[in-house]
Amino acid sequence: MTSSRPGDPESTTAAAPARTTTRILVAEDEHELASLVRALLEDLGYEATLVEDGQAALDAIAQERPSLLITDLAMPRMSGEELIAQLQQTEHRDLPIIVLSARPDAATRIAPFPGVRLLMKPFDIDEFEALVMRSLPPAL
Amino acid sequence: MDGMLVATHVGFLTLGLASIVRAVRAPGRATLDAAIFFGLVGCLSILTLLYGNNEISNPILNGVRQALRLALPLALLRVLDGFIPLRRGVSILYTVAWAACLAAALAGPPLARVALLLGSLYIFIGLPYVAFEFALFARRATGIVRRRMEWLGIGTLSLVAAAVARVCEEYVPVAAPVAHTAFFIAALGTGIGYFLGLTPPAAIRRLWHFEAVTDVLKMLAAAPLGEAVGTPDTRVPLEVARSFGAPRGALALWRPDVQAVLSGVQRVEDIPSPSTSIANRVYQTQRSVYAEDVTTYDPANAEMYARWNTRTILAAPVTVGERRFGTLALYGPSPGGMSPEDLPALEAVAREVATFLVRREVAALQIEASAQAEAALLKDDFLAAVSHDVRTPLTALMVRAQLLARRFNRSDDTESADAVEALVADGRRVQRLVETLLDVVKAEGGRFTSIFEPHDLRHIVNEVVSSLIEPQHAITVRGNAAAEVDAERIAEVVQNLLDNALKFSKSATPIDITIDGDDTNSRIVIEDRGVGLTTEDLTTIFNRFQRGSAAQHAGGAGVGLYVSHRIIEEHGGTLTAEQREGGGSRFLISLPVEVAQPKATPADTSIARDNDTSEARPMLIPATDGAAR
Repeated sequence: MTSSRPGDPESTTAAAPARTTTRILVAEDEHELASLVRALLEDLGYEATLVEDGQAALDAIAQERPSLLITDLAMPRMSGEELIAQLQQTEHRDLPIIVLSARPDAATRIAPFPGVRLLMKPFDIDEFEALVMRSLPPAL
Repeated sequence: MDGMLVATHVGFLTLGLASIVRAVRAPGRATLDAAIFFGLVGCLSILTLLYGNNEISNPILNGVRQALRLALPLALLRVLDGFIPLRRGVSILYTVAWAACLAAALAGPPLARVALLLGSLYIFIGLPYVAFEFALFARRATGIVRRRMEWLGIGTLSLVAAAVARVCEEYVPVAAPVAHTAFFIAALGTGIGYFLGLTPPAAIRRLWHFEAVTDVLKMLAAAPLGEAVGTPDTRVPLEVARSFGAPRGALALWRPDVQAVLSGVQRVEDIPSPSTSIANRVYQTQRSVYAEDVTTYDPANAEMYARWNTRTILAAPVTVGERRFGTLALYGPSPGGMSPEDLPALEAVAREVATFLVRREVAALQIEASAQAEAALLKDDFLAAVSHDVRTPLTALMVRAQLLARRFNRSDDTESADAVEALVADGRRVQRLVETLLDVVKAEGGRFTSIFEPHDLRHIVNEVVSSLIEPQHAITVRGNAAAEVDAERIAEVVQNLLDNALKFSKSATPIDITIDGDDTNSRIVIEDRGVGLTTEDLTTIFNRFQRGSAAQHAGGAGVGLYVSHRIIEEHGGTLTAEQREGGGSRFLISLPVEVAQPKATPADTSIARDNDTSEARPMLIPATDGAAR
């Protein structure tokens, strides 16, 4: 684990080219998994911000204007679906979204939002990385 | 003799003959009483027609006429006794009075005045007494019997009127002409009243039955369906008894546990001889019964009937179509107006009661089905929660393991690298186990959410084959066909079958997948050259998963085959297994090219399933021997 901590020279060199301006918002109420996801993203050279619920995610999106949202579905205060639905009403409706979920009915829950990508938990980290890179808009 | 007189007596004679015919055709207390009464009237009418109202010169014939005349109140008392059992004293008193009157009348002139006095007393006390008792009974009577009572009341009042008119004609000369006409009108009223009351003709009886049946139908239509089937139900038989004017009613239902037909309040221990009881005999023979005296009909249970103060029973089978529920019975301490002629109407009502019971069963099934659907929803929620709670820590574990694997793969520590790879593989196995468990539960409830779309089966198969990691077998895919399928589900089936083939055949042996089809069906055939299947396997292979048995291994291939079978079933297709010629096994998936219609809804499935297994549905506990073959 320690090897993938940010700043670790080994992992940064192994990961994709660093795009330091690319910020990714991670909404996940499980602390352990959230920090693991952040580590994975930072290995890829992205900056990750962690929030614990949908409401906090909405606020963070308004403030930080991330390039990608990675969100859980089951979260306190505001669920992932609500968060996505709310985003459709804002200027951030084009924000790419990846849903990470352990719910068996996740696919039906996000069915109303066609652009949203789904990755079921537990996931393959290669697959996760590929999905993140595919979801991000081409670097400027 | 005037025409009016002739007409009246011909009328009486006709009534007499009609009631005798009826008594022969439908033997019973009521018809017999009516036949006796109208027979007496008819005989008197013959004498009157032959000899007029005057004294008959032949003393024997004269005596017979006197005896018949005086016997009329006695016959009426007998009729009354059929409805309300009379005290023995009353019957004896009247028989003695009849004999005394007759003796006085026959003694001739010396006792003529005494005879007249006795006769008058006898008639003027006896007839009002009968009328009074009938009126009392009529107040309590209901339904058909009440109608009959009304007519009997009219008949009795007319008889009293006729007697009064006769006396007036004889002793009040001024009123004689009026009394003469009044007598005939009253006599006719008596005939009609008694005839309708005692032996109503079929048309009128049908009319009254129609009223009774309509009453029962109304009650059944309004009766609540909520109560569980088989609970003691007293309201239905009470209402039927009321409509038919019977003292009491009972609905006895077949109880498989005690192999007897029992009403709600009965216990099988209370019946000395359950097999001969009327309710049971009606149920067994499916024929309705009128037992005027149950002690002769069913002597083995005489003591029980005595305990219930029951003498007469009218019973019909509660059956509709093939469905036999039990027996509907009307009973009482005397015929009390019940008659064998009520049987057709009671049979009709019993059929309606059976229909009502069917409706109640259906309602109960619906309630049960919706409760099951609710339970299934709860189970879904529970499963979602469990799978979420298992997957969440598993996700963290898997991410950590994969990160570790990456790190060791870049190092020289191959031993640790292998160990971590194994850790990742183990994690994947746990993950698959969770998926399989979820699949099994979905299959159990018949709730795969299938999206049927046209697909190339070759494409689906190729995807599965190419996803295999370093297969040790030469896998050949031939042919192609299209079908409306849920691609993900079919891929799962192919994956399961392929896993099986790989698991049970030696490495490097070929596995052939052939896809073909015609206008209606598409087929995927998977053949291996492995250990093959035993004959026993062929019958049980898709049933390995048995509900309720203790679980040995949850994730064995048996579960996979079971799930596969259910998926193909949902597609309206078939999944079969057979021996491959030359060794190995052959699995054949046959799918309809077009899905006819969405498969049964969850509620339908659960009803259909509960029909073939009546025991309660236990939670999922897969049982396999750990291997599919």
